[in-house]
Amino acid sequence: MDLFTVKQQYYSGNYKQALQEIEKVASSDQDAVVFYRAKSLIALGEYEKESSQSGIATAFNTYADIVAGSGSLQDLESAVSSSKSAFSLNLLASAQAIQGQNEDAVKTCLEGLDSNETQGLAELVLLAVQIAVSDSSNRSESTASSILQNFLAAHEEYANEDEIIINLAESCVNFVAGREITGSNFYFYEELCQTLPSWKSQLGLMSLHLQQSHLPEAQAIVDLLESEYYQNQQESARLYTPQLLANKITLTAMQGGRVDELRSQLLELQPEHPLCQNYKINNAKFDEVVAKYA
Amino acid sequence: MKMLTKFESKSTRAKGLAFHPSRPWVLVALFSSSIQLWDYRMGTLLHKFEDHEGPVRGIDFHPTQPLFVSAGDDYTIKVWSLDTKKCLFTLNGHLDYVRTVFFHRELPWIISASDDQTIRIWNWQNRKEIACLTGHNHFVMCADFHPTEDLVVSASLDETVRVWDISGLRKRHSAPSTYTLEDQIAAQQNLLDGGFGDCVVKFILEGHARGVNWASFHPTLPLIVSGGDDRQVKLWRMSSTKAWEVDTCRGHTNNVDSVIFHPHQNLIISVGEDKTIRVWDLDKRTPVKQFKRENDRFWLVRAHPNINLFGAAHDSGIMVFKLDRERPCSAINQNQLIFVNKEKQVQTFDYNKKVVSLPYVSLKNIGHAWNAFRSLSYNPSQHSVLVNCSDNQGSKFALCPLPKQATGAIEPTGVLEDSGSFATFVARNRFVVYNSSTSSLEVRGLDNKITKSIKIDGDNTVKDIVYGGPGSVLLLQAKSVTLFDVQQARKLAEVPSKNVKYVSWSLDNQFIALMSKHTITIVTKNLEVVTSMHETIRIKSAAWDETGVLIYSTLNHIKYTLLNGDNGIIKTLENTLYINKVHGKFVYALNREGEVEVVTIDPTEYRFKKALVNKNFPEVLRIIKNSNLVGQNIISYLQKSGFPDIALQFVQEPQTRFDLALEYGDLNIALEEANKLNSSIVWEQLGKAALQQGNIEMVELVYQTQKLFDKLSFLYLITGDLSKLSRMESIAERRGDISSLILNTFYSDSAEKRGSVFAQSGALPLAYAIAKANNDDDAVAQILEKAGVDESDVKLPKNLTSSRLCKSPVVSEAITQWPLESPGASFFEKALSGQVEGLSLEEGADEEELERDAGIVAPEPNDFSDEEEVLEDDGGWDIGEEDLGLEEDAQEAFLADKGTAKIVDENEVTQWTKNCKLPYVLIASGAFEAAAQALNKQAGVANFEPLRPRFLEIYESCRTYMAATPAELPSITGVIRAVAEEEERGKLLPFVAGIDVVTSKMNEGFSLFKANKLEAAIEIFRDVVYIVTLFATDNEEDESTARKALAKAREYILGITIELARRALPADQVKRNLELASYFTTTKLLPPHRSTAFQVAMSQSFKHKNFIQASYFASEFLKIVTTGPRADQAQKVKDRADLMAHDAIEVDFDPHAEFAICASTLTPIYSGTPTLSDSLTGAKYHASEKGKLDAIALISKIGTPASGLRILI
Repeated sequence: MDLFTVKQQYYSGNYKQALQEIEKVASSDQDAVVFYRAKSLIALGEYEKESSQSGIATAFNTYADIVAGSGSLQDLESAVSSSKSAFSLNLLASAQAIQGQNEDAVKTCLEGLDSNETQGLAELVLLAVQIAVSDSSNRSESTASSILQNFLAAHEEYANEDEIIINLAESCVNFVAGREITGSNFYFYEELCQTLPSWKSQLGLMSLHLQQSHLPEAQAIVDLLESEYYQNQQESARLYTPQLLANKITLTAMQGGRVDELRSQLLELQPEHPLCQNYKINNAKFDEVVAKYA
Repeated sequence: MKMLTKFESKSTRAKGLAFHPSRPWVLVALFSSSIQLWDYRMGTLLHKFEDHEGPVRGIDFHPTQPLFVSAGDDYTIKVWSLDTKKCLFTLNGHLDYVRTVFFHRELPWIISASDDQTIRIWNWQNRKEIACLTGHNHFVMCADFHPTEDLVVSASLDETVRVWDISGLRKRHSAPSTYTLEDQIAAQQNLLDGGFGDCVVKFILEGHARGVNWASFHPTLPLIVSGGDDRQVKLWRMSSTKAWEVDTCRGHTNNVDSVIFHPHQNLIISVGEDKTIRVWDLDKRTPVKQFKRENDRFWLVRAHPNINLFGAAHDSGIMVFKLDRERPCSAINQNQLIFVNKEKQVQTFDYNKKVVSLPYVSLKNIGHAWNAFRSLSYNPSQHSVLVNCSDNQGSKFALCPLPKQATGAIEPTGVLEDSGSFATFVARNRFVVYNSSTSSLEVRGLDNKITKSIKIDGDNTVKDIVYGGPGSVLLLQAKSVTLFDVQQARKLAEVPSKNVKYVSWSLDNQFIALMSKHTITIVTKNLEVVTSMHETIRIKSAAWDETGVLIYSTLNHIKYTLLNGDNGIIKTLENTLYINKVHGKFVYALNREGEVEVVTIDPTEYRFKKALVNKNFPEVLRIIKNSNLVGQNIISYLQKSGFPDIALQFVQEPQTRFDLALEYGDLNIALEEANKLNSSIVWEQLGKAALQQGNIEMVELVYQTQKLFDKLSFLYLITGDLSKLSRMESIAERRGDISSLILNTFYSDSAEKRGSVFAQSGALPLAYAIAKANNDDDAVAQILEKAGVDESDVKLPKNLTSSRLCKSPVVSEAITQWPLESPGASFFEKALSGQVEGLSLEEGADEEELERDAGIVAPEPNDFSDEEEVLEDDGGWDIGEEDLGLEEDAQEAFLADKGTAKIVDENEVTQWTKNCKLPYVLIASGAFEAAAQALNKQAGVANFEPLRPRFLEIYESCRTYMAATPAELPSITGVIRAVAEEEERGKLLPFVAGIDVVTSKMNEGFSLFKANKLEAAIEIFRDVVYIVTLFATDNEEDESTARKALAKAREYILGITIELARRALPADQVKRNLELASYFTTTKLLPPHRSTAFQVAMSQSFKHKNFIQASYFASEFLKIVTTGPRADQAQKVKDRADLMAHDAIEVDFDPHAEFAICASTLTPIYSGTPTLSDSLTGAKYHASEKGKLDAIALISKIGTPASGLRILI
């Protein structure tokens, strides 16, 4: 079973294409296939609950609820415990992370990574890395990179189709650590944008441009994503507009412009975005400053 | 294949040349009858040997003895001594021109070929001819021994090449210890027989259609190569019984004069009168390469007997050249050296284990045959190499993945070959290639697809490209070296440096050594020159040791240089080495055979000098204690470099110690040594030095020992020691030294004594004069009596009076020691007297360390490996800051903040605040409270609300977010740094918007002002103040621009405030209206804007009949605006106002007085009245406004004590 193209499309954020590729794969009941189909559908906002009672499908039903804001973690936990696999653990860890239980989420990932599973490990590593770096209380980046290093040390040879996942994990660590900004990390996104252009890859490249203070290039990506072509990709636009807004705020701030309006748009659209959370914390801190010196 | 010319001599026609077997010397036989000896390495003519009459044709060095032989058209063969530079003897016998002479490689024989159609063999020890080979029936053009067998090959214009067997000759001449008469007779007989018997023709090779000019044996194979006037080069093969023609190389367009085999490679090299050197493939007999000179016919080509060099003699001199580079190309990755050996195989060398791997692949079929690779670049993530190869036909490169394991010289798979120059990896999946036809740099992916093409500007051709740090390359150009950021396609820095060929990065990537043929320039990573040095011998390679010393190799030395340019020789080399790494006392290098050599060096000397330069005295001391470094050399170095005190510690010899002590100024040691030496010169030097230092006691001591009484007297005089001075007088008296005594009487101003001395010694007239001058009547009478003359007989000069010049000393006590500040003991003095703590001088510590070091080779920083970088968490606040109070507060506040702030990457953001504590950086790190404190202390900021957007924006401008996969996970936060590729943690700082933000805001404000949108303009100018308040920059130019912008913004805000206040006035407040209008003109706006203010004031004043003031404003206006309708109007107003010449309303404005405007009350503050100025904006206020909010920026409190805003990083 070759999921190479599926994964390429999925991880570069082309969920529709990923779905199309999944249809071409013959064996449709494998966990991996179910995983990517369901994930793509969730991303597109087209997930409909399956009646099938296979383990992973049940888990997905609960997971979709959690993503939508309803659904409980216990339900998911029980669904997962009934059929433990790297993929189901992936769902559980993702759900835990969504609910802010980062430590548990990383533990869940590590449980999967330490198991004897052969499938879905790369996906778990990526997830673990992402959760680790978004954790504020821990020394996030070193945890993330040690997870990645351990995995790579244990799996010298991973499947070709998983390369994009590992690359993403690596780029994620580099991004947070500020490494390879002008080097491989930049090239990774540059190449991604050339081979698999999408909202997601363009936004990734934009972040790298911002890290290099390439303001005109970053502005060009904003213009591109606001162009008709990209705006017509409604599902992606819906999914990634908050991200675009966040990057636009950064860009405008870097240009020395006012960001209040953009920020309130983002606050309305996705209040849980880290930028908004930082804003709220900083705003409160500033209130204290004002009060102290007044 | 490339011809690399190493040396060229200029002379008349050269017919022959010979290489010295071991020294860099070449002999040149000239048609003009002289012989030149050149040092081809230094390019100097060492000697000229003149003894031949007529052209010299043959020349040869003896393989081991300091001898050489020459022969020419005077029929003679001369043997010369290299020691005396004289001709030792001449061998006569030939009856015509002698064409060539050669020494036998082991026997004391010389072989010569002559136009007399004979070949003769001579014994140079007994100076006898031992054989004459006849048979050729035309001129014999060349004859030489076989390198190992008893054979001779000769070429003749009789169109034949002959091979002679001389084994009989050896038999006859090797055994006898003495020469018996019979032997001599036999030898004579043999000669008469024409050499038959001892020397027989073995083969006669016929095939050339014209005369043959040259024939040579192959060094190892049974092959002969010949060249002749038929313009052909012929290859012959022989067995023990026969010889036959193998093939012919055709191509020369004129006579072939000389042809040889390449000593190591399967090549034939021929030269001819068609002015070419041609290289042929021995196996295929096809032309490989040819080199042409414009005007010179070639006469001879010769190979160096031991090293890979060739020489060719031509019409205007000789040239020494190589046929290919011998530098094995290599690259370093972490603990491994990747290199290409002589067989074009890729191998690695492990610095830790010191083992060479098996070959990974053989690159024999890649690139141009016969051409070594020019450079190699290694990609650790793909485990592949890029090799470059170039020759006159163009440049090629190949990307070759290496197998995981080295199993032997297998053919590589998956090789990408393409044309292009200087391919070099710049990232794990990118490399650059230079396209010389378009002079552009192409960035290519691992699939060799071009992803970007960057045009390199300028006419400065790119000679090579090497790694320049992550994402960058160094372009080595003819006249400069450019650091080029490939990814951003821009030039980062450039340094003028001619023909740089090689580059070596220091281990910490801070310095680069740029090497050209004779110059090493050390530059920083930003290409700022640190030092530059010239080497007379060609520079070959360099590597930095772990302490930052550059170790480099020249053709024959390993040398070092420190960053201050101090350098020296570490070791002499027999063979050239290409250094690639230095660690401790080991130098790792590749030799010309493509093998790794580990050379042990003694790093003591350079470590010592480095420690000295860095004033690392404990290290200096340790080295001195632990090594036998001290020698005259190092002492003179210490003395020369200004460390006589250090040198002093290690010398026993009194004279040197004395000299050093004087230089250092240590009189006590000098005295000690002077006592030992006890020579008048030493005492004199010491006396002088002591006098200079004002050490009177010592001077006294010296003068006393040396019995320098007069000097002593003078010393007492100048130090005011009157009692001793008077003692000197009596001493002089006792010594009976009258002139000294008189001198002393002068010093002590004792006229009486002086008179009596003169009287006693018979100089009565002088005594009389003294007595008379001092009105000593008794003495006068005595002298007159003694002399027996009457007073009236004596005629004294007029105006004779007693001395009034002598003054009594102002010091009551004699000075014994001029007060000098004590310098305190130097480090070394302390160390040696055991005062320095923790300085245990363990014997051999240095050695141990070196041994230990050698085992652990620090990993090379590799900028595109995937390896995790270990981040050192430096907990200390190691940054020296002046304002300590503030920093500590800031730190506490920051720590307090940390609890609540959501910090993206604790390490990096914390690092920002460690690296810089400007408010900007604190805000960027989220430490708002600390930033607020700093602003409060620096600029008295108290009302923070207006700064809220700036705080938030600064924080946001330093962070970017990336969507996670899946998108429902929280986004991932990355930071934005000031310099994206900054790697040094100590320099990490957040992004800061450039000064252009400030200037563009200013311009926005100006245009709003111009458009009379004053309310909006004032907001913008306040923004400028806020931006500058929260600005950070690392260069002073931007800082000054920012501060100027702040001052300018203040003036505009003040001006606009005044104008807005005026406009808001009710119509009846005419006086205030006029005052405000006039104050508006005093703000320092840009001239066009100020003219507007003048215009307002002018028209308001005129309107309200304040004509004098109106006239003043009009004339000020006219100073700015000289033409146009506005000027005309102003002129009219002025004319009219001048006619009226009175003011209707008295206003509080005197244009000629000095005053400032209080920004809060908008009233003048005349000089002399108390003022306050705001610590942030610099606006002026009446003292009564203290504690109020600054009206300009609305954030600082007037009159708050503050240390001043800091924005420079």
